[in-house]
Amino acid sequence: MNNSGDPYARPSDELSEVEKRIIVAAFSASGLSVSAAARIVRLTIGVPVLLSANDKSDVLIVSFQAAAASTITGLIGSGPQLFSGSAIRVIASSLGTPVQQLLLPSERLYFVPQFINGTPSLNVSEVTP
Amino acid sequence: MNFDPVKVPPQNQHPQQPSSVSGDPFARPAGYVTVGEWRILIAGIAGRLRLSQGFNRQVVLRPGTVSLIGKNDKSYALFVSAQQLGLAFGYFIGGDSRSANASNGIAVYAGRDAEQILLPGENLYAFSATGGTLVVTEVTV
Repeated sequence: MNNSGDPYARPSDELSEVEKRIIVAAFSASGLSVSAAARIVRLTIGVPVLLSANDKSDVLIVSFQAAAASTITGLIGSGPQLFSGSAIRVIASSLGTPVQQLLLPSERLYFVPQFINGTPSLNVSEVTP
Repeated sequence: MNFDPVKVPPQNQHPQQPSSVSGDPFARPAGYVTVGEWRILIAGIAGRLRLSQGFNRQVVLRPGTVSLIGKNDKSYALFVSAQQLGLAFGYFIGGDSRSANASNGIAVYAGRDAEQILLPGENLYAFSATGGTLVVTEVTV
């Protein structure tokens, strides 16, 4: 128990290292996403694919975008068991900004395509800030 | 002959406490940001980028009924995202069951996502006249 009586207060009352890394990554995410070479991930409707796994850095910025003249709607989550109604739905379009997520160590990013209009693939890039 | 010394402003000194000048009891020295404020900032900027790692659940809004869709009883700043499922519908959100209505609530238009940051002990309520289903995701950044 701390002196302030605040059950949420840390003894040091300082930001953790993880929090500092997250905010640095979040600020720089949009600027760094274009600096990494993208790889192509093939998609099949309804089949979960592992877009990225963070096994190498403190914070990993993952960006993905549909191929040229394509729009792909799908679900994202931390595991392969993703169902409509209990997972976040995102739209990856070649015309819009890339979809971005931050992964902490050992976290994974899965994607389940639901609708594909155009090329059935995503361009995925990973950056460590 | 006497000269009055020219008074040069002191350099590199801390600014005076603004509260004594402005009378604002909540004013803090310039440049000072509390840890709580930093956490709100982090949640606001990084919350959307962490949605894939959050906790998801489905919340059904019954027509004309206020529903509790988010509750922060576990973190410093909880990022809550509500995404409409199926047919798009409009609804209203508020911090308590009385304010989540068509008169006082914040309108969320059909097809739009609602994103809010809840501090410890805060709740998020929703009201829809037509009803609908939300996918609510909570992220502790």
